[in-house]
Amino acid sequence: MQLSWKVILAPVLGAFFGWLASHGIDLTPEQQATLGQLFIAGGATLVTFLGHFWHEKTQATTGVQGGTPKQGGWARWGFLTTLLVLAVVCLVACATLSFDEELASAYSAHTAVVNAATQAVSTGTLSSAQGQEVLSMAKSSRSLLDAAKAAETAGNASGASNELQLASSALAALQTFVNNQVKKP
Amino acid sequence: MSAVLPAVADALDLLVAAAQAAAQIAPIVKQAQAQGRTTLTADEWSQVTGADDSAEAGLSAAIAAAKAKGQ
Repeated sequence: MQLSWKVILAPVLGAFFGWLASHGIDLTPEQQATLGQLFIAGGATLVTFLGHFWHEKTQATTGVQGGTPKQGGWARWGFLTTLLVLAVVCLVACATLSFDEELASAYSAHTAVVNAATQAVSTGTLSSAQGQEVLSMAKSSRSLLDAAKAAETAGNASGASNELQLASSALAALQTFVNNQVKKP
Repeated sequence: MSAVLPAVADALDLLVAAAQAAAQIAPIVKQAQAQGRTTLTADEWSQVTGADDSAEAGLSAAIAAAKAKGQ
């Protein structure tokens, strides 16, 4: 299940990189990326466990049985946390970037959502039909991103900005759609 | 507790995949900033869009595999 090394390695590496950072030692971009991943993974693990215990408590109170781990609500907390973190990261990042960097970040967020959906389909969290819907929406939002890039290349800054706003809205809708699909039993 | 561990592993897999994609753009942007540029080169754009193309291809393959399994 590839769990043990992650659970053990994440806090060890996280503590190591955190110690380096707290002592004023510059981290390479790769180390910073790893540290960010570990923080995200650690947070999601915590939320997943809390969700699990909350779900068990609810079951004990109501007598309502949940599904399998992959079908039950608590198993999706990590996935939802991923999307939430991505949305926050995108909002923060796009506030201080040039148009190109903002557009590249939007592409990256798009890639991240598609990759997350791929994992969800592979693990059975999303069905093939749900995955197909996500793919269709992803293609639409990608078209808007491409249109924004084409407008910028053509020197149409206003049009590029408008297309990027549309693409951001489409991306937000895609994230919401994936969230709603994952929440369904 | 044993039932929750596979889900944690799944969540971690999802997070690592998503975080890797999000982090993919960082070196490209940092390189542009280090060179005093606010725009990306054609080659850098190619890397960004290529990663997205690969992601979409991966999702299509995962959907096909899920269909084959009857999911």
